[in-house]
This record gives sequence, C-alpha cells and structure tokens, in this order.
Amino acid sequence: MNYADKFKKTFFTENPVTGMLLGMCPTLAVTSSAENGIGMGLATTFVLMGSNLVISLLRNIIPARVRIPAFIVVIATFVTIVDMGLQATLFELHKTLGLFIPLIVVNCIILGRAEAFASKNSVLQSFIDGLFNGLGFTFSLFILGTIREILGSGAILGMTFIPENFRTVLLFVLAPGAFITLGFMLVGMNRISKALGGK
Amino acid sequence: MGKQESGLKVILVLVLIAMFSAILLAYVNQVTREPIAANKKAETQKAIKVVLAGLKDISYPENPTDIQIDNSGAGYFEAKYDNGKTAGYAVIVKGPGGFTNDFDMMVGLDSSGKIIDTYVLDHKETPGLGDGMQKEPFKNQFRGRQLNDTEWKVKKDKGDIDAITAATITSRAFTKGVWRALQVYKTLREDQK
Amino acid sequence: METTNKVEVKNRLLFMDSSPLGHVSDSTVKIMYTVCITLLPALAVSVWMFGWEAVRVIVLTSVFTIAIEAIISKMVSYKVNFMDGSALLTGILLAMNIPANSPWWMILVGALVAVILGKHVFGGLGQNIFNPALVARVFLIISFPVEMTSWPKPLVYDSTTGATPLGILKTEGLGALAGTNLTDLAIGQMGGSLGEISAIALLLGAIWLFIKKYITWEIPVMFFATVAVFAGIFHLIDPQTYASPLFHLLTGGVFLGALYMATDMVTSPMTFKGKLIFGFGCGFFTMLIRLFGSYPEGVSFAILLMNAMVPLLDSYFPDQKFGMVKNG
Repeated sequence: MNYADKFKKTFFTENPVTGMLLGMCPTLAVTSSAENGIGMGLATTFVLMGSNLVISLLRNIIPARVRIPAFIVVIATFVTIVDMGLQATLFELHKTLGLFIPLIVVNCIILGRAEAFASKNSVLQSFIDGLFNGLGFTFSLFILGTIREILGSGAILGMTFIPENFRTVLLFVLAPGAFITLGFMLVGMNRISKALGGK
Repeated sequence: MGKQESGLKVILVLVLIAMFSAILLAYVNQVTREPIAANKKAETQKAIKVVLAGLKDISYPENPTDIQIDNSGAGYFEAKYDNGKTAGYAVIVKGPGGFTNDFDMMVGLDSSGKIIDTYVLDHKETPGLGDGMQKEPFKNQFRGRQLNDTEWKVKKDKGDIDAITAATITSRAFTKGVWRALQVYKTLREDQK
Repeated sequence: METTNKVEVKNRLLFMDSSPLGHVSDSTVKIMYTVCITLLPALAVSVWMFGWEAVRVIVLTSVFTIAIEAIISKMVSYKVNFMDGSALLTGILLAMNIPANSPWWMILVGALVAVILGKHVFGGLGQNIFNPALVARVFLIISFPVEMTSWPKPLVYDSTTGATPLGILKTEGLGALAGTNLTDLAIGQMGGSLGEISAIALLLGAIWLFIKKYITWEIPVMFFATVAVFAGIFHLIDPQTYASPLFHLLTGGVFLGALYMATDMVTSPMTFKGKLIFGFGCGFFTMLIRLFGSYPEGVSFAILLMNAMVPLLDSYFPDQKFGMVKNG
C-alpha cells in the first residue's frame, strides 16, 4: 500500500469531511472547540479501526443479504465500548460530547468505509484504512474546532489569549458559525486538493 | 458475495455476531461500571462541596431523597453533623424554561434556610451569555438570602435579583430554580414540626 | 457528460428567469443612489434623536462597506464597481439596523459580514440570495447581544441606554408600556436602531420610490396587512397581554423592513403572486417571532427566511402577465 497516497487522499482530496462531506452531524455539532473536535475525531477513529478490522475479518462469512444489519451491529458494539470507556476514563470530555457519542453509529463514514473498503480488502489494509480515514476526520474536526474556538471564545485549546474586556464573535461557537466556517474551510481545502492534483 | 445464501446460514451468522457483541459489551460494562459510578458520584460530591462550603464535619446520604415541588421532580441531600443535628440541605432542582431547555442545578442551604451557594449541574444555555449564571457576580447575589427576605424575581419583573446582561430568560429560570429549592426547604421544615 | 448535467441542474436551481434588475429601465447605479437619497429623511430623524453618534455610525458604515468592496474588487474574478452605489446603500442600510452607540469594531465586523458573507460569497451584486445588510444585522445580534440590545435613549444625547419598546414588551409585558404615545412612535421618539425609529420619515422616502416605480406595492402592503391582522386577532382575544396592531406596525423594523429591505430587487420575487406570498410570509414570521419567540423583534429573521424561498416562489408562481418567458 502506498502510504503517501493514502495520506493525501484521506487528509485532503478524499477527506471524509471536506472531500466527501460525510458525517456532517458530528462535524457541525461538536466542533465548538478544538478539544471537542479532537475528542470526537479520536472516538470515531477508534470505532472506524475496530469496525473495519472486524468486518474485514468476517467479510467472507457475512451473507450479502444481511451485510448492512451485520455491519451496524459491529459498529454499534464499538460505539458502545467507546461510550462506556470514555465515561469511565474521561468523564469531563464525555459530558461535553455527551449525546453525540452514541450518534457515531449513524456516522456515514463508518458504514461507508465498511461497505466500500473493509468488506473487500484484507484485514491489515482495512485496519490501516480505518486509521487513516479516522485521522483525516480528526484533522478536519480539529481545524474546524480551532478556527471556531479562536473566533468564538478567543482561545486555543482552552487557553484564552485575548484580554478580559475584548469581545469574541459569539456566533462562531453557535450552530450558524459552524456552517459558515465549514463553508470557508471547503473553499480552502478544495484549493489545496486542486494543487495536489486530486480533482 | 453475490450468491444467495441459505436462510439458515443468514440467521446463524447474524445470531453469532449479535452474541459475540453481547458478550463483549457485557464484559466492557462490567469493567467500566465501577469507574463510571465513581465518576458520577464524584461529580455530585463536588457539587455538594461547593454548595455546602463552610459546613464542617458533616455527612450525608449516598443518594438524594426524591421530593415533588412546584409540579416538578426535585431531590435533596440532608447533611448532618456528627451529633445528628441537621447542618443543611443540598437541593437538586430544575431551572424551568431556560433559553434552550430546562437545566439542572443544586442549591445549598444551611439549617436556618439561608443560601450558601449554587451550582449548575448540567445546562445547554448560550456560552458567553446564559452560562454567566455559573459566574460571579451573578452567583454572589444569592448567597445569604432566604425565602422571606427576597422577592424571588428578576428586577425586570419587579423582583430583587439582578439579571445577567442580555440573558434575562436564563436569569429568570435560575431564579425560579432557587425559589423551588427554598420551597423544598420550607416543606421539609413543616414536616418536621 | 456529467459536467453538462451539473451545469443544467445548477442553471435550474440558481438562475432566475430574467435578470433581477431587468424590469426597471434606469441603470443600476441611478437606482442605488436614488434609494440612498430617499433614506435621507429617516437618517435626519435619527440624527435629531441620537445626535452626532448617529452621524458617526452612518459615516463609518458607509466608509467601511465601500472600502471593503474596493478591496474585494481586486480579489475576485468578476467585475466589481465599488462606486456603483450598492456598497453605499448596504452601508447606509447597515447603519439603520444597528444602535447609534455601536462601537467601531462592531461596525467593521458588520461591514465585513455584509459585503463578504452577504454578497460576494454568492458571486457579487445580483447573485446574492439574502439581503446583505440584514445578514450583517442578524450576525451582530447573535454575536454581540449585549451591544445589540442596549439602545441609546432618544433626545438625551448622553450614554444612557434602554430597551426598545418591543424589548420592554417582551421582558416586562404590556403593562410597562402604559404611558407610550403612538404619535411619538410614528415620529420616532423611542429607543431603537437608527432606521427603525421613524415610520413617517421612512414612508416619505418610500413614496418617492413608488413614484419612480423602483418598488411596487405588493410586498409592503401584504407585509403591513399581515402584521396588522395577526396582531389584531391576538389584541382582540386578550388586550391585556397583546399590544395593538398599530403598536406592532410602528415599533421595531416593520417600516424599514417592509419598505426598504423586503423590496430589495435582487432578493425578492419578481412575480405578482410571488410578491404577495413573500410579503405575507415576512409579516407572518415577524409576528410569530415577536409574540412567541425568544427574540423581541423578528423582522430581520422573517425577511431572511423569505429571501431563501425566493427562487422557489419564482418558479412555483410564474407570472405571464409581464411577458416573461420561461425557459425550459
């Protein structure tokens, strides 16, 4: 496998968020800060790696007719593990991501990779595909979260850098700010993708 | 894929996957149950420590006692000194009708019904505006007040409470929540007489 | 193959049947500057009520929007004439939508949002879906609620601030407005943004636009009528809680919105039926937000909401009367 090519694809030209516009719900909902973005991204990465691994292992056993329910059971299992694991270890982060962790189940990236990649490729390749796509997703969420946090709360990774009496643009931590920032991010990423010769 | 599998195989595979999933989750659940419970308890403990700050040598039950107030569910922890006398109450109430939703808050009262402090457990108010209810100076004006020495409304509604700038609705819900906590105290006192 | 399809779909979705500015004979530049001039009476009232602070806001918004447009014109691939009056009009309308005590940085943010997010992300003048000044106003209301809800009091010329009549209605109820005089409201003697205070001055300017046929009656009349009927029904049911229709017409942004914002040629429907529905929708959502929403004023949200429906209205209610040809 060509890792450089895989990196270029999953981070830029075919990035889950900015290239394929998948998983918009968590992308827009949790990225009010960089930390939340990373948290959500890594949780999704874990699920992606796990589900890709297991689905690739079972790819010759699962009957085609019921592959979607089978995939969903596998994905839901991993999501529940993440949900309980986060509650046990990173309780504060779980409180802010809260509702959106169970919703990873319906994140199109995961079912998309299971259907398009893991069900047709070897275990190792699928595992790496999960890792790269997850990190690409995390990368986009981190950038989106960082921009919104700087503009909306005047902070980077939770550290406030603006003076006490300065105002921040509240809109950016709210839902409309997510859409506006994502729009401009798509413009930038399309530029980069073009430069990289993606499409 | 592509070929039609027999119905039996389909069922068998799905059942097996579901079984493995269930076993795995049962195991993870067993491992994480204790830490999760501990985390949740620590969260409540932290809140109680804040709202009952200043009371020393007290103990309180593990779980809150449920009570119905103002047509809404509430709960309270009765804190006792070592000699068995009531030291105060930590009351969990809902702040009704916040800007986005109801929110959960805890109000600490001493044995005479004076407010020690307040703590917001869980909320979805606007960051930068409504979440000012967790900050000074808004919080400070509640300390030391009790049911009868205050008109429990924001100033815009001809009450005594200074609302957070540009977040009247949140302030109103918060004030109502505190008022509910004081009603809980009143009910408890009347029961004891 | 695929590209052709995409272009076709795009054409159907985005482009309207005729040029949005096509149904008036005068040039865009002349229209823009005429509209600016007709806003002068309302601006004069705002200066009378709020003093030099109002002048400062008007100058800053105009300078900022034109300067930003000039910078943008160097960055985009299409032609932008920053002196065509559209940037100036956006600037003046923005000034009329914010309080007289707005700090300079808020005006700058507003101007950036109006020109870039309101206009140029869509491809410049004539392509924008939403009214640029309103996009900026809503952006500022959500981002800086403290600055956007403390309005200077009229005729005192100092830094005392208060709520608008609608704000008082929302937070304190109708009882707190017992002493309000409707004549004062019509002239504009109340707290509010520069342009929402004087109904009479706005009407004066708009009459000139009617005479010049730059705007038509359908949208404003439907807007006013819907607000009046909606408010009237609730006023009749419970006059103790709900303010009179006249109060709802004269306060807030109904006059500015109905006469100048909703009638913006680029962002309003072109057909007769479309305009009627557009005007109705603006009035309906305004009152819905005022009476049941968490914001005291809903004009800007209502107009933006209806702006988004303009392409739909234009295609669902075609109007053959003006001789427009529908292309397949």
